[in-house]
Amino acid sequence: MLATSYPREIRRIQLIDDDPEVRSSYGMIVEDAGLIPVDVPSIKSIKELIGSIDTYCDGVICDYQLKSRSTYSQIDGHEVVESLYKAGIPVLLCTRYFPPNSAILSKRRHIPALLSSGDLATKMLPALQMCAEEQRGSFTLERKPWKTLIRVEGAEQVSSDVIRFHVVVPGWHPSQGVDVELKISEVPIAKTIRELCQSGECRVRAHVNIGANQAEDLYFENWSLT
Amino acid sequence: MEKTHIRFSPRILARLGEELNQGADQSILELIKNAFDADATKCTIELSDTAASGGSIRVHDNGRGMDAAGIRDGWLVLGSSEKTPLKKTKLGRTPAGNKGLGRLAALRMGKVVSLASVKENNSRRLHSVRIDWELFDGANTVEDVKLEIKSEKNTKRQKGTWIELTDLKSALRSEDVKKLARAALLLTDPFGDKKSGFTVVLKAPEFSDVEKLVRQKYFDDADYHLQASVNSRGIAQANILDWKGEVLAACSHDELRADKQRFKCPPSTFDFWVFLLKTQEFLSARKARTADIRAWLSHFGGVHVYQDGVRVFPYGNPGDDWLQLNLARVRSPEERPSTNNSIGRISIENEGAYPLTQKTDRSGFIEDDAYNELTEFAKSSLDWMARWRLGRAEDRRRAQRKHAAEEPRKEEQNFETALKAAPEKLQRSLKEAFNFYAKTRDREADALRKEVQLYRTLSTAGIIAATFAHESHGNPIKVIELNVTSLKGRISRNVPADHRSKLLDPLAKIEKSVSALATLGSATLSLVNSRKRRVGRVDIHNCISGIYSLLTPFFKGRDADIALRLAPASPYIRGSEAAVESILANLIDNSLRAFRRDSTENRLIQISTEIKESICEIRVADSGPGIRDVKPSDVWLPGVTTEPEGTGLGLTIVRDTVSDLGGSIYLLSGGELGGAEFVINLPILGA
Repeated sequence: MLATSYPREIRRIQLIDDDPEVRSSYGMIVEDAGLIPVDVPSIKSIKELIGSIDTYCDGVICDYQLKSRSTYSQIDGHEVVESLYKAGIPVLLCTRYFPPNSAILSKRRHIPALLSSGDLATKMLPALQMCAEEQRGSFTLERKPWKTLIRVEGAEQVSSDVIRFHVVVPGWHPSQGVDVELKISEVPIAKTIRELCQSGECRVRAHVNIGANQAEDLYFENWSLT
Repeated sequence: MEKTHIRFSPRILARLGEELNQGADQSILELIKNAFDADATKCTIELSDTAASGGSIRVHDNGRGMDAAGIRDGWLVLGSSEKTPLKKTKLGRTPAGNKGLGRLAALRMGKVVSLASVKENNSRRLHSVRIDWELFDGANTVEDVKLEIKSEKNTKRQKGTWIELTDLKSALRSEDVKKLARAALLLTDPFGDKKSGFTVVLKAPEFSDVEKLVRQKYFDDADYHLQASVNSRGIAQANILDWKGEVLAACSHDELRADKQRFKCPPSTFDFWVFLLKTQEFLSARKARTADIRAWLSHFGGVHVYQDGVRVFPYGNPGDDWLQLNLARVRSPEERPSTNNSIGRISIENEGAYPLTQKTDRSGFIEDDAYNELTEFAKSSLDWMARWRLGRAEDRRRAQRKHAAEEPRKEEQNFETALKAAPEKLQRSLKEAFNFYAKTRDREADALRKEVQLYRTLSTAGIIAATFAHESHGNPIKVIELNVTSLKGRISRNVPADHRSKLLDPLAKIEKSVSALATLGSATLSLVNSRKRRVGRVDIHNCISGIYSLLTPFFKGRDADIALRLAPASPYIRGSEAAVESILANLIDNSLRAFRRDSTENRLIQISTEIKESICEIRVADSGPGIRDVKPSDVWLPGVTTEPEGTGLGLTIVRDTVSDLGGSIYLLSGGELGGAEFVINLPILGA
């Protein structure tokens, strides 16, 4: 039993992966940790999935690629994790693909725990605990967001809705550049930032977890102009 | 109780005037627009002594003019205007100015402004007013300064308005005058064939130069003319015409817009001319010289916008690429125009359900949904033209490849014919020389074909590996890892200690093998990651560390080690991570192969960096056998390899990539560790 915080006591782990062999393997790791594995045979809708999860005693392990088999899920794991996180369900994303791609990075604010399958046995419980604490408002040093200055050095229109910015977050690292992709439909100010940096680098603000150890752990939200 | 009213500080004049001012050219342009709105057929601007401050500007038009009431209730009331886009003038013009503020910036260019006006149908009276702005500076409120409108008998002047700005606060540079000339001439769409009936004359030397360029229209010399339109119901269509005006391609609304939604923007037409500025093509078929067209395009290239016949600033100004033509060209340079070789015009009839609104500071349209839809219409049209041109380019290439096979035979026949005309005693030696040349050329062509095929094969292997990495690298390996982990734990918990090693040892071997197997997939995916191919700032040391981590299982698996000795700095370049990684990965692979070939016992690779001013020197040295069985200068040649199954491309790729990054590379046969040592010098932007 994983005690996270009152009134939650995780006893079961829901297993999400489009391969039943992998789900079964997750199940062994969960049993070894003294918890009860629950197989999720398919995801018809996020609403239905959330409805089937007991927020009191369930945590979730979710794989990233869920669309390899057409009947399992209509969306990939990073979107499932985001939805479950927002619903207050402790969840971690399990993937072999490191460094994470731009799709995962764009949801990093709502993916506190990103583990490889090799790390699952030793880090599963602490990861779910961290997620639950964060959902209560208690962030680790690496995940706590701070309003900070960002130097935008360049912008590139990736598609009609996506702009990729090359930024430096001096509060995190004085010179290491980081790529951030923003959807204009979700972050309308991205268009203004792009226009501003067309005449040279510009400075903006956002909430960033500047305690992160690596660039792939950074997330950005609440962008604003200086 | 005291009755009062809101009053304005004189500073409001600066706020609304100077602070909304886009520049001297835009300020004066507002006065020209006022003349247009007054149905003038001619507007003349005279500049006197404007190279320094203290000069003057006179603007005269032959429009409808104003009487005292018109001056008092119209011209002197700022922020209000009778003009509305819905009500056209007597000459049928849609008013260009309607915010009542535009002229203020111009009027405040000088310390004093004088206005005189004669109204049509009442030319016996001349009305005038003089404003000394310094009086406002000393007043508490704007209302405290009284102005006097004089009316006197007029015998000399025709209808119209004269505005004089005297004692200018700043000089007008030649550049400002050129911008004014350009803006004035472009104001009422001189690109079209229809005449607006409105002429602007700027009495300044710069004007005639610009006017000459405007008058010289080169539209007939364009290679492609895109003609697109969207009607009042939001349905669009487009054609591509050649320089003769013949239709090359046409498309319907559904082809322009993938989601088939109507465009929610005002009815508009989009004309766009593309010039292929390749000298040979031009001289063979066109009248104009390439240099003249380049000069014309450098002044007027870009896409301009006209709303109801009047140009909207700043669309199409030099440096304004609002449709991102240059960005699209960078991303896909083939068959895409840039602002240097194209010119366009979008004409908007600003009516209907989705009108556009200009910003008060005249910096363009408010970027609302209607504006976005208009932009989407223009970009969709350009994208369609680009796709069509790409398709034609591909057809041309296929035809060329087909003809390339036939060309040598034809040339050989031509040669045989020419040979027969040569003196008989020379024919044999000429034939022998030709045959020798032909054989050499055939060998070269053969080698190139093999190289191309090899590149295609390697690319296909990469594509297949990346596509199926999930199947080979994701799930099966994940299942093995998870089950091995679980087994280790269960064995430790349930099996007596003295029996555990029998079970744990084979598991350790499985784990090690799985790790090596997993590396192939992750390394492949990492190397082909599209983000790595993007050009931007690249930290060299980060790349080196990344490749080291990525390839660790490979070189450890071959009992080799890599030592990193990196300079205490963070050198960075402008390039792609993929480029730097390909250099390092190929050099490391080269060393590992050398170790295997030579059965080297002590297998060490060393990667070191040193910063020398604006150069980062990267050295990759190994303890292998050095360069043997091939000349050092030949190692860079494609296809040269000492391995039976080798591609011979690795070092060619390294050399070409270093060159693309602006650097140089050379090889030391006996390096620091006794084997080969490659020295790369890359110019850096910083460290």
